Amino acid sequence: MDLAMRIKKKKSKATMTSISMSLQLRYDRFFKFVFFGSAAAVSLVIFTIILFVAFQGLQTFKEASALDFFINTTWSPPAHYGIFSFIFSSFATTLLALLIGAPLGLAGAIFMAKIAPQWVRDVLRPATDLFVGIPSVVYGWIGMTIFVGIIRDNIGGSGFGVLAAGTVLSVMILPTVISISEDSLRALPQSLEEASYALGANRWQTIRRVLLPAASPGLLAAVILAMARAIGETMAVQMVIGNSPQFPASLVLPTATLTSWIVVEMGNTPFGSTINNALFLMAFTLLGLSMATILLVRVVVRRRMV
Amino acid sequence: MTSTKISVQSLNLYYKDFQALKNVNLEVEENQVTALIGPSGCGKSTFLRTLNRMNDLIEGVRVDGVILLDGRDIYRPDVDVVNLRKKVGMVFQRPNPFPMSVYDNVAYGPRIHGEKNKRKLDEIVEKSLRAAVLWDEVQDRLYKSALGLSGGQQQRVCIARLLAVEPEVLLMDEPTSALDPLATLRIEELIQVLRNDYTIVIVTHNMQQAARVSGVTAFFLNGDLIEYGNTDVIFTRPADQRTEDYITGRFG
Amino acid sequence: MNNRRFGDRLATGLFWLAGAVILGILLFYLIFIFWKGINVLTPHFLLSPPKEVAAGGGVGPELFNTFYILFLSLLFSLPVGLGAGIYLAEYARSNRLTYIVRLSTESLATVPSIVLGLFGMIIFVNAIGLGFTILGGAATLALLNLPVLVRVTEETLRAVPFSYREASLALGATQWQTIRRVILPACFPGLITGVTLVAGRALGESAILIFTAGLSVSRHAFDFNLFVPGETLAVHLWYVNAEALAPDKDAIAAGTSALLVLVVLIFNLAIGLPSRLLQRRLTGNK
Ligand SMILES: Nc1ncnc2c1ncn2[C@@H]1O[C@H](COP(=O)(O)OP(=O)(O)OP(=O)(O)O)[C@@H](O)[C@H]1O
Ligand SMILES: [Mg+2]
Repeated sequence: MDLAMRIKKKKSKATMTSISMSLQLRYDRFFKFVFFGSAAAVSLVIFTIILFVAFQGLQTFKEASALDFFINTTWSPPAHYGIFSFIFSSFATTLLALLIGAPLGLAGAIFMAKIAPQWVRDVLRPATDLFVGIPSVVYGWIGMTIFVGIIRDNIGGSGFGVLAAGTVLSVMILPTVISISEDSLRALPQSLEEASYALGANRWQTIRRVLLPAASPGLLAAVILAMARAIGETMAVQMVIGNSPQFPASLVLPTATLTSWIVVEMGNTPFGSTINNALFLMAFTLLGLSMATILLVRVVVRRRMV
Repeated sequence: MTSTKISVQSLNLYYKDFQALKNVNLEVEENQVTALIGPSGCGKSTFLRTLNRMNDLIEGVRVDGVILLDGRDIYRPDVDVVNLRKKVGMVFQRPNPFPMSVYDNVAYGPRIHGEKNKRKLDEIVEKSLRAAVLWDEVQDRLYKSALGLSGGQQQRVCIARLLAVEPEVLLMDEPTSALDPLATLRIEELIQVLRNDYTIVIVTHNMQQAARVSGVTAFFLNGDLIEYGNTDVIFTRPADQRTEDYITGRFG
Repeated sequence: MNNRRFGDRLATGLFWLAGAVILGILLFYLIFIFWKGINVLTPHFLLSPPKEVAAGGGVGPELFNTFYILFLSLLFSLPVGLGAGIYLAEYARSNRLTYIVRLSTESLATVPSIVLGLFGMIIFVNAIGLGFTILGGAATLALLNLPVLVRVTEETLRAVPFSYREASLALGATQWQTIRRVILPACFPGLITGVTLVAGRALGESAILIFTAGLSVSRHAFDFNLFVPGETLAVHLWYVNAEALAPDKDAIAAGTSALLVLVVLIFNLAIGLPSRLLQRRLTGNK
């Protein structure tokens, strides 16, 4: 009697745990499904973006020829939808930004990774994070209130143009350059450095001949990503570029980039009109450029693995 | 009288193309300490982890053969791995307490298995910590992070955490290799106490430890189980020359 | 020999100079921003609505909209971003599918924000036909947060030692229980830092919002209506510079700049500090 009861009790307890267990397993499966769904959603988002922007943009070609669109420098709808000036200005501002920002950022990264004492690093790290925290409209506002005036007074023109935009951008890309290069310098094994010192090399020789070459894929990736950041930057550029749809024959001539011109024209044109569609095509061009940089970074970084 | 707790029959395990266990046959006795010895890389950890299917976590692992726990195959597809691991628990080489208080560490298992009653949890925590011979040392810092304890204490937290889910089999992978001699001694004493209630399988590189704590010893070499049997027999009159070479330290 | 020493000294000096220049630019910017704008930041400026042509307008509704849209965008992006990050860190095997998810996250991260803005405009303003709304702005802004959240979550989770997972699974926990009770709590400080980063960026975003949330504000103070336009501080700063007619627009621009940067600073301090304290408690060193 007593034994039978004990057995029964034990049995019911066993089924209890197996029920709660299968509930746990169901939770487990449910959440796995949820997480997978989220991941799938992220992928879906980028494909949807490409699809919609492409669909809207490609309607431009109902009225404008593709060749005219990409190589003509004249933007005077409805006769000409040439965006070459914008593409050129985008690259010009980006190049200028890289010329100033990349060396400074790389030097800063080397300084932070290999030279600065701990306390300096503790100051510089949050400082570079703060560069990210300053909104791009604030960069644009600083550009308008400081750089444009300086350029106008010392170099000429109205002050608005590629030079002002490039200068503003050169500061904005600093955090990208610094953080990615610093990470790739830090990722190098300590043994590399030690081996060089053990051969009697000094710090500069070690940096230049051992560390920089070893980290070069990462440094290159940093510059490429900075480039993507600069090409895509909109508001800061729009505020200092001058917003005139003309070819930037000089660094101080008001002009427009792909991004800045979208902002200027979008508000003035009705959705669905050819000129509005052309703006979406410019956005699609930007998308293409940013996808290209992603692939480029992949190629560059993969080379390190080999 | 002894009965078989786990019966391993023609077990093979592959990491992708590499065969790490070759046709292993072994019986683990109930309420007995079984020690696994052998040179580094011979497959001791791999074997141990097949017993609660921890190898499932590694990509590219393939297992064939049969492992019976209480007569039931644990590799059958309908087996609930979670339930299996509840019965067959594991202590790892490095103490790995969670970044939580001592109390929360020990209460973790009962909580995930559905225990919510605070008084019941208190009871389980105290009982498990006492069983792991740690209660006296931590009772007034139960609510502080377990990561603040010494290595030996952390390992005993891990053992208490395991005991709290009331497993039947304890797998220990070099549980003392990260500990100093004194802490090692405490764990060995603890194993002696635990053997009365649990079936224990322990991997060790320390011959004296195997001799001190185990009743049965199994010797592995390059994925083969060379021989196993009573510990005093293995250590005094091994059947295989290779076993003797290894135990006496004459191994290349 | 001497040449070598000289080269090393010179290089060291130049690197120190680079560090100093970078820090100098930042300090100069910050000082300039606050020097120009701090006087403008009166209670009146912070609370009252903007004025189109007259002087004396404030940024009250913009301040509110900024946080409201930020909050909504995090509400939309956090669950998906965390979920996808958890998937990549805990479940994803190395196969083609995982590769696609990774590649799309990276791609989404480099899409220029103006393109996201146009996409949001197609969807919310035109296709669904809502016009400029707070809802549309927040949902589009969520797309900006998403890839960063995914990356931060994945990285933070991956930094948790594998031994925690082993220990938990060996106790018979399911994978979900392990994630919920061990991994996520251990990651909490890191995740908070990541969210702060995301929020800081979203706070100052404007290109996305101009064409989704619009350039005007509700006439009611603190309007929680999701379907009205909602200009944020950053957008307001741009608008004031570009088109405003108010005679005191320079002062308003300066004040708005200072306020934006101040908000970002406070945000980082307010969230960063507690998470660091929590980190300490978890790891047990006092
Ligand atoms: N995840 C893995 N992938 C591929 N091979 C592995 C993996 N884990 C272990 N191995 C290989 O399997 C063999 C057995 O490894 P195992 O860890 O079981 O050895 P061990 O006897 O526990 O060694 P030790 O005493 O050093 O802990 C080794 O040759 C090892 O290289
Ligand atoms: Mg091992």
